[in-house]
Order: sequence, then structure tokens, then C-alpha cells
Amino acid sequence: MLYSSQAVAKPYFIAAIALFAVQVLFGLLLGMQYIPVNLPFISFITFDAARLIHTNLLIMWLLFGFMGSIYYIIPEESEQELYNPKLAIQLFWVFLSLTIITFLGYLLLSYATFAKITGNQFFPTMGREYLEQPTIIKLGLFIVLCGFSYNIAMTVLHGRKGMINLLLLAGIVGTTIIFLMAFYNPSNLVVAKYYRWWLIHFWIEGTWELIMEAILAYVIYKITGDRKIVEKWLYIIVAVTLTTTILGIGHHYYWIGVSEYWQWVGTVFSIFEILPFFFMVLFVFNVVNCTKCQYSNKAVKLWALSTPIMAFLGAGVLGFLHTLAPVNYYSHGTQITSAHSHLAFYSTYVMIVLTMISYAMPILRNRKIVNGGLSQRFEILAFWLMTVSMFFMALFIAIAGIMQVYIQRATDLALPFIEIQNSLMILYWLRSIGGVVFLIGVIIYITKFLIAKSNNL
Amino acid sequence: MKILTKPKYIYYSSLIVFVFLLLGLTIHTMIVLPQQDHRENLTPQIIQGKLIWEEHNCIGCHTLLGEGAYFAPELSNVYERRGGSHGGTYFIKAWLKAMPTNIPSRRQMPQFNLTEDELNALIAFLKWTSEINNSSWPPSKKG
Amino acid sequence: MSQDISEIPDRKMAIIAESLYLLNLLILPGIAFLVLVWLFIKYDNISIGISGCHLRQTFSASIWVGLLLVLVTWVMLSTMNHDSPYTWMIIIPYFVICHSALVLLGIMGLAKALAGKKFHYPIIGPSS
Ligand code: HEM
Ligand code: HEM
Ligand SMILES: [Fe+2]
Repeated sequence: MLYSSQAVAKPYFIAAIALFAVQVLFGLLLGMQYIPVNLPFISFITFDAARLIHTNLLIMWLLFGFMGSIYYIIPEESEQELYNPKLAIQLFWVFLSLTIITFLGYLLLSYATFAKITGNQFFPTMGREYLEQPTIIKLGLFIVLCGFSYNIAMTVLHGRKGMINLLLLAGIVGTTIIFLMAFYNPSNLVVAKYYRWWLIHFWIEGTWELIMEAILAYVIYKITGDRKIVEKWLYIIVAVTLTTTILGIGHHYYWIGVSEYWQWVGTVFSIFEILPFFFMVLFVFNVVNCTKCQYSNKAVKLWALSTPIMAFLGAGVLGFLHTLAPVNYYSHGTQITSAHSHLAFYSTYVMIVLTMISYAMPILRNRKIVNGGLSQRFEILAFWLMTVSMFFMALFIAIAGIMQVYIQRATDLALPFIEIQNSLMILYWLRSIGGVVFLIGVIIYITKFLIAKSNNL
Repeated sequence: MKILTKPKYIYYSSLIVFVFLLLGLTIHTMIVLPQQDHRENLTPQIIQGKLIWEEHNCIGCHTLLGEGAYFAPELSNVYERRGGSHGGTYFIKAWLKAMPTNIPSRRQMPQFNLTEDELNALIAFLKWTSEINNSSWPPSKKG
Repeated sequence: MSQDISEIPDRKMAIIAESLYLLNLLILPGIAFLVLVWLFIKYDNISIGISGCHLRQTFSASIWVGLLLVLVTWVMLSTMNHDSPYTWMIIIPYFVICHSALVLLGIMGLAKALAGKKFHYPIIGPSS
């Protein structure tokens, strides 16, 4: 650690990992309800409540992960201490409390009750996918994002300005401003849907993608030690992202009741949304020359090289597959979407946060990295378990989606939704088995940190 | 020439061009939207129905216009699917009251204990949604 | 001929070979392959330099592309029952997985060509 204020990243990483485990646990519960196994410990919670926890904790912990990564990177890249480390810690506790309140609200109250006691009727923003948090929680989250952006902006503006830290700054300021859309929920459903995507799409395929690219560039720079070539690639990748993603939003506008030309706009631009991922793979394999580089943590290299590959598959290929309007006509809102969501979120955001944790945590905890040591072996095992099982979960669900589309939409059979689900049962079973393997991966991943604590392996 | 290839300028110019394109398309979309969404039919009852829809997290199991969860059927066309003006209201009301079915190994929907007024508002909302002109999606009546 | 090729054209040829492999997969199926075949015949493909390596590799890999993506898919399409969902549950995932794995290999090959290094396509490339 070059700057002592980088240490504020540590609680953020710990919270991220803990929430990750809870998120996956509830994912597994969802998978079980799909089968459905009527065991008391599974059906104690309704599907929608478990899903609320699963998706909202995902967003929250990824934000924790981004914040930790950015707090770690910024002082080093700006060559000075963080502007206000105390604020960073205070915001951590505020954010954690908001997350836990939200989690407990979903877990213990019925959603309608939660909406009532948080006064949703006075300013309705709840009940829209990914934006289900009560309005006051959203307000709190907005304040946390503002404080975070302020802290980073002051550090960056007073320090050395490089490509990586400017991009991170743009990413989080953008994330904060875009979040304002969460408070806009007009009573006309079509208008509400139209603007909701400004938040969701411009986060996950816009500002978050920029943050992800900057973190990846930073880690690759740390591995190779060659800043110039890393920045050159980053330049191309960001340019491609910016030019394709803005009108790529059209791929969410095909069937929600807005003008039909969005089918053309969305199709044409989002075909090219695959390019940033293409260039990311090209970048890492061009730059990382393992025979030459000094840096020796094998686990970090594994994470950093796999992230672009998996992102290319999950976001790029699976995204492309259903982004053409004529295909999306059949696949929209089926298990195919779910397959894409899972592999895309895992590969781009989960993996980049875990890459950064893999790099930064040993430094934050003053550990010596021993290649082949027990702790690292656990991490690599966890990597394979999670990545492979997520790949197969997405595959099974994609296959289920193809079958669903075929029976429900594409042919004359057109069976009702619920009746089709029984013929997909085997695939749902396989998905749940994948989920169990994934959870085992998460547990082994957490164990890695505990091992490193008890002895210095 | 060199200044033009500086990342900053490339980024600013592409951001400006595409943001303006998006805003232009958005303005046009919003101008022509009333013909597609039939907002002239929006009543306070329908708006109340939307709030009820949101406050019971229906999106946590169902899709509406294809967005939401994939655990339960698409509902943007449920009003038509269940008979439209010939029984759509009746069916949906009876359905919501009959939940949960408790049929073993069939997915269950909770009982929301909605009042008669709330049920009517919710159904009015679903009826209005089914009339949105959305390029004839979903492909089949079954959703 | 191999003596005339200086350091830079050698790398350039490697990049061209890998790009053609990717173009064949992504935008110009068939056409890009024919260009690659032409280059493979015309230029020295036995040299130990990187252009020879990449030409040999992409040529062989492209033939595999034809076999795996065109031939196998065609055989499946013509022998399986189009009215059964199971057909599509097999063919679509097969094609997508195969295609994206081949593209990923091509990207890695291109990355190595850009770096002026050799690359060996696992299984589908010749071993030397
Ligand atoms: C950056 C990584 C990405 C992530 C994390 C991501 C995530 C998601 C998620 C969660 C959804 C589901 C939204 C919902 O619940 O309705 C979605 C939908 C979609 N995504 Fe992505 N995505 C990514 C990149 C891409 C790319 C690059 C493309 C296109 C090439 C794409 C195309 C689509 C399309 C067309 C839909 C709509 C699916 C439908 O009609 O149901 N995505 N994405
Ligand atoms: C044990 C592993 C997991 C299982 C069994 C699982 C299962 C599920 C299920 C059943 C749903 C609901 C789909 C529906 O609405 O019908 C869901 C939604 C979702 N899960 Fe997971 N999940 C797991 C892990 C993850 C992980 C690690 C991530 C993040 C990378 C993730 C991200 C999501 C997202 C974004 C959605 C919303 C999907 C959409 O709207 O398209 N899940 N998950
Ligand atoms: Fe999108």
C-alpha cells in the first residue's frame, strides 16, 4: 500500500463479499422454488420477496465493490492521499445500514406493508424492476453516491490526472446523476418504462461498463507495468463503448409501446455493443505476456484474463443473440433474458470486483502472496467452481428459454405459460444443481480469507 | 491535427453527437406517443391501479410488456386472454380471490386481500395496458 | 522469398491472416476464407517466422470452422426433425458455443499477432 488512505477500501470489500454470499443464497432459494420443492425452509419466503433480495443485494454489493475498488485505485493513480478518508468510512456505515434495512424489510415485511410504512403513496417510486427500494432508501443511496463522488472528485482534481482515474471519476459522477431517474415514475406506464431504462441501461451498459474497463486497465497495468500501452487500449475500448451504448438503449424499446423506429435504432447500434468486449479480450491477451512480467500472483492473472473472455460470452454473445428486433420479438421476457442477465452480470461486474479484491486484499491485509499456497489454491478452486457453474446455469436456462419460446410463441401449439413449465423441469433441476456448485464456490472463496488469517499461507 | 485525436476530444464529440441524437429521438417519441399509448383513456382509477400493481410487487413474479420476472405469465394481455370485455374482469377478480390454489407442485401466487375498489382499479390498469399499441407483442395470446 | 520479408511485413502478414480468420467467422463468411487460402498458397507458409506460423494456423483452423459450423450444422439440420423443440435446443446452443469459442481463439491469435508472437490454435491448429 502506497497511501495509508487506501485502507478505507477494506470494509467495502468485506461488505461486498458478505452480501454476495447472501445474494447467492437467495438465488438458490429462487432456483428451488422453480422446481418446486415444498420444503419449509424454502417456502418460508415468497418468490417475489426472495427475488427482491437477490437482485437488489446484487446491485448494492456491486456498488460496494466498485466503491472499494475506486477508493483503492484513486490515491495511487492521483499520487496523493484520499481527500477525506473519514467521510469514506462514515458513508460506508450509512450505505451498509441502508442495505441492511432494505434487506430486512424485504425479508420480514410483506412488500405492501413495506411500501405503506415508508410512505410510498406520497411519492411512488417502488415496484419497478431493480428499483424496488423504498423512496427514502433511494434518497439515502443518492446521498451516499453524492458524497462518494465528491470525495473522489476532490482527490482526482487535486492530484495527477491520468486516463484511469479520470475515467473512474466520469463513471461514478455519471452513475450518480443517472440515478436521479429513479425518482421519476410518471403515471403513464409507457413513459415510466421508457425512462426507467435510462437508469438501468445507462448504468449496466454505460457508466458501470466504463468503471469496469478502468478497473481492468488498472489491474492489467499492475501486472505488466506498462502504462502507455494499457492507456492506448483503454482509449479505444472507451471510445467504442461511448459510441455504441447510447443509442443501443433502443434494444429495450421494441415492445413497450413507443415508436417502431426504435427497432432499427436498437438493432443497428446494439450489434456493435459487442465491440468493447471484443477489444477487451484483444487487449488483455495482447498486453499480458506471462513469460516476461514481474508480477507473480497467479490468481489475479487468472481473474484478470478470464473476465474479458467471460464478458465477451455473457454480455457480448448472449446479448447479441437476442438484441436483433426480430429475434427479440420471440425471446423478450423469457428464460433467455434470464440466461443473459446471469452470465452478463457475473462475467462483467462480479468478476471485475473479485479481480480487484484478489489484487488489493492481500496488500490491504499485509499478506505475502505465495503462489501455490493453500489460500491461493482455494481462491483458484473457487474461481473455477463459480465460473464453470455459472456458465452451465446460463446454458441450461438458455436452453429452457429456447424450448419455452418454441412451445409458447413460435408455433401453433401456443400452450399456456404454466403448462409449459413442467416440460422444462429437468432444466430447472440442472440449474439448481449448478446453483449449489456456485454456492460451494462462494463458500470456498470466503474460506480463503479465513485461512490467510490463521496462518500466512 | 494532433489535438483532434486526443482522447478527450473524441470522447466529448461522440458523447455530444449521441446524446443529442438520443434527445432528439426522445422528443419525437414523446410527441407521437399519445397515439400509441391512448393516454386519453387514463383515469384516476387506472393510475390507482398502477400504484396497486407496484405496491404488491407483481413484477416480482410476472412480466408486464415483457419486463419483470419469468416465474409467472405475462400480464399485459391477460385482460384480452381471459375474455376481454366478455368476462375479463370477472375472471381476473375471481382469480385473485382464489389464490393461493394450494395445488401441490404447482407454483403458488399469494393472497393479497384486495378490496373490491382496489380490484377494480387493478383490472382497469391491466385493461388499459392491454390496449397499448406495442407492435403486436407478445407473439401469441398465451404471452 | 523468405529472405526479402523484413521484420515488419512478417508481423503484418500475421495480422492479416488472423483478421481474415475472424472476418470469415464474423462478417464475410466464405469470401474471407478464399482470400486466406490465396495468401496461404501465395506466400511462404513453411518459414519459421511468425507470418508462416499464423498462416498455417489460421488456414487449418478455418478448415475446422467450415467442418464444425457448416458441415456439422448442415448435417444436423438435414437429419433432425424441424418440428421438435429438441432439435433447436441442440442446434442453437451447439452453433453458438462453437462459434463463440472459435471467435475467442481468433481474438487470441490476433492479440499474439499484434504482439509479434506466435500462436498455436489448440486442437484445431497444426502442432508446428
Ligand atoms: C455490460 C454487461 C451487460 C449486463 C450486465 C447486462 C444485463 C442485462 C439484464 C440484467 C437484462 C434484463 C433486464 C430485465 O430484467 O428486463 C438485460 C437485457 C437485455 N440485454 Fe443486456 N447486459 C449487458 C450487456 C448487453 C449487451 C452488450 C447487449 C447487446 C449486444 C445486451 C442486450 C440486451 C437485450 C437485447 C436485453 C433485453 C432482453 C429482453 O428483451 O428481455 N446486453 N441485460
Ligand atoms: C446460486 C446461484 C443462482 C441461482 C440459482 C439464481 C437463480 C435466479 C432466479 C431463479 C432468478 C429469477 C428469474 C425469474 O425472474 O424468473 C434470478 C434472477 C436474477 N439473478 Fe440469479 N441466481 C443465482 C446467482 C446469481 C448471481 C451470482 C448473479 C449475479 C451475477 C445473479 C443475478 C441475477 C439477476 C440480474 C436476476 C434478474 C434477472 C432478470 O431480470 O433478467 N444471480 N436468479
Ligand atoms: Fe441494455
